[in-house]
Amino acid sequence: MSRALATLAATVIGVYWLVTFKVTPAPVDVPVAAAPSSRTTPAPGARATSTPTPVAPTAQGGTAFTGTTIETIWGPVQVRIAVAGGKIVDATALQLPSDRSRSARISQYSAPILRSEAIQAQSARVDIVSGATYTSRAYALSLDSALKHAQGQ
Amino acid sequence: MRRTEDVMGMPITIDVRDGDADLAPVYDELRRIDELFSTFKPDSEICRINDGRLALAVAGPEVHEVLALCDTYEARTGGFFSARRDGALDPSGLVKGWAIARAAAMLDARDHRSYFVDAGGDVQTRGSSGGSEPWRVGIRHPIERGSFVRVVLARDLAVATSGTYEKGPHILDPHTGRAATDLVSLTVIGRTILEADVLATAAFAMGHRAIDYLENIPGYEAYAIDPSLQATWTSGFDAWCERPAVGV
Amino acid sequence: MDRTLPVLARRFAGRPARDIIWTGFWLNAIAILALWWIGSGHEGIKTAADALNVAGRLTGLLGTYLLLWELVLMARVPWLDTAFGMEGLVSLHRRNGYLILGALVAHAVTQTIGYAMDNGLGLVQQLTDFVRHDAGLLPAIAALLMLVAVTMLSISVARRQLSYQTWYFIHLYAYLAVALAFAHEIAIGVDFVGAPGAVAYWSVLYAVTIGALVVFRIARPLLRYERHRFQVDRVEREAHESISVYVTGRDVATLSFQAGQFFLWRFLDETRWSEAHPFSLSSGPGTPYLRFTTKNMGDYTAGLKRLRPGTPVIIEGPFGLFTPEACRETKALLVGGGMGIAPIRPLAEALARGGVDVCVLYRCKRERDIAFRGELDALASRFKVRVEYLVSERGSRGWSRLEWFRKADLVRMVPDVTEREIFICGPHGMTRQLVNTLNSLHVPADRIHTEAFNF
Repeated sequence: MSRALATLAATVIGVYWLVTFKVTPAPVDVPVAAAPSSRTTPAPGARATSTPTPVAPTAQGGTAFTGTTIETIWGPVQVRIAVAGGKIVDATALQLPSDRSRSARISQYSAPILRSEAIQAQSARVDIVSGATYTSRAYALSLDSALKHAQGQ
Repeated sequence: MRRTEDVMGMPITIDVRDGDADLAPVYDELRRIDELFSTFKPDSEICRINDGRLALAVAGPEVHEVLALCDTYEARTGGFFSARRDGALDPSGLVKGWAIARAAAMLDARDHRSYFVDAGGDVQTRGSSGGSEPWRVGIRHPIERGSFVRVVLARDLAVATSGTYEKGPHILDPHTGRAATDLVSLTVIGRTILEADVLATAAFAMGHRAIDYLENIPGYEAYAIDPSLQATWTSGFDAWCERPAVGV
Repeated sequence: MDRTLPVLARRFAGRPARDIIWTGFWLNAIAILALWWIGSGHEGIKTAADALNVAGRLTGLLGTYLLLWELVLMARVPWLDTAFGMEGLVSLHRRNGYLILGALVAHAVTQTIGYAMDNGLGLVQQLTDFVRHDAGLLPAIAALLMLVAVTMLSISVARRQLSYQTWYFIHLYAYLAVALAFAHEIAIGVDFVGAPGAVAYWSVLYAVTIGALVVFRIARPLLRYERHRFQVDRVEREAHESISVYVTGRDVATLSFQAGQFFLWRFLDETRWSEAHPFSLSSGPGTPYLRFTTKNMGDYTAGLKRLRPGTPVIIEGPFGLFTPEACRETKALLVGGGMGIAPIRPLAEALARGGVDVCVLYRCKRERDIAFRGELDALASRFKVRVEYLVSERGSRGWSRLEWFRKADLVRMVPDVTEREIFICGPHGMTRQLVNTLNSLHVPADRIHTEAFNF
């Protein structure tokens, strides 16, 4: 009887642990198969590597590059980007893994191909500035050092 | 009317557009919160709990509320947000947003409907900046101070930004203990500043996976910048910005 | 509820009932295959990994479907009992258990290898990946291990090493396994993700299974106890080695069952509360007490004579097809061997009251083993029931034990045996020999009813 109770207690603890075991999101590293392998914005008309092939001028203007097909763990991914004025203006997915038999994880996340851009600096009129927390102490210190710099120290 | 005071080691600006507001009590409240939670003040309740001079059970109700929220968020972010580091309590990642929310609540109680409360770059906006104009919130360029990378048009929106370009790599991945260096800036926008602030801190520690994680959080959008100044953003972020994604 | 259920069940008995149940089984199996086809099946197989994953999904779906049936088979559903009989259900349960084990182990193996091939990982890596990133998979693995243990320990070789209580305790883990596995099916099953219709249907299957268990294994016996408050009245010696247990309560005469049926009896005292044992009633319906009669067949039955009066009793049932309703002829032959006389006794009375010409052959070893002699003699005189006591030790008429049911002897004893409905309850050997004899006399199989006490 006491053996049964001990087993029961062990079962309860075991089940509790099983049920509360945390599952972490799997790494989702679906690369945007962008054409230029370097991250800097390409000069107009430049071909950084031989793989991207310009297809045609796109509706947004600019030239389209079709990237190589990248095999991800869910299947092949291929993206076409449009470059105009030295900036990527659009990205469309040509091939996405459609084979549902691969993994239910993709549907769990339903991550669209996320766009990316090289950031640009704009000067704009704003009411509020949102930036990384800065302490007035740090601000004061850097102001201080700037002043010292200015005074040639 | 607009006022800025230094509390909690950062400038806190409150700008109320509808009617006169007596902001002194709001700042008093913020200072009181700082007295309770600051890890830089040896007699704050948090420091005394960490020293063992104050038993957690007899700490004030606000400490319990904040710590309970920290536990909830720790669970929800899979441990990427954590109020415990090296065995000591440090809820400051949550206290800032919580304090802003308290200040906003005080303004709501006085029937103000157009204001913002900005603490060190994290802001809760309410209503509009005048007439039908949304509050214009600029996301700072990491390098070129004074420039912005995006302008968020905010109505009843909170904006929180985590980053390393001011204080250096100070956000640690609680799982590895190492500084999170995949990103230099992560901005989270959504309804409440508490949530946006915590998500910005937690997701920052996720590095490259931050945007994927935030893509799946309903009601919140985000914009992330990596050290090579490439940005990615969640699919709903553009809708809140002044201009579409890429310059034409 | 108690009145209508047995009536409904009886109307539903035998072959037509079995047909309906099998139809239901196959229809649902087809629905599940459709669910699979719509979900992922139609995508086809392009690689070896695809083939493995398809096999994995099908075995997962069908294996779990069979597992739900496995629980329902033992849920004491009256319609299942009248369709298959308790023995039939136990046999189905046993065979189904091996099918389930094979299917679910195949499911785990094929899915692991399939995903590993797709992801380019080793098997151990893939399993680690499953556990860390897929919701509910760790409990599912635990569930599979539990089912393996439960099935393996039920193989007769292993089962004999365990006490009944230990074996039963382990067997209960099957319920836990079913519960633990559910989450991973819905959360990451490819045919369920993003398919609310499939999830709804699957949930209904689970709900029906759980419903059946709750209603028939828990609610019904408890409600019946609430109504009747069964308790042990007394234990009497019935014959040299047999005892009769009398159970009384409130309105016992209104309890609905047929003569010849059995219940599962659970006595709520310190030693017996965890076990439910089947015993046929040796009394008929409509009396203010329930009686069952048994002899020493093991630890449990040996201890029954020490049952304390007043002990509460929970009963499940009634079960069994050994009933007057099964009799379609106007004449019946009832053969009881040893303790098999227990259900024969009330069956004889019920049939006789119903106007059936009843002949009882009561076979036992010794004179002092004869039970219910007074009652049987009363039946003989009141209802013209013919009762023959075939006692081994008598040796009178020169018949040895093995010879009574040879063809010539049987015909001599009961000349119109081929016109009678036959009811047999007794030891295996006797039953088998008698059935063989009846077959050789071309008595149709559906006119022979047997009852055994060994499940």
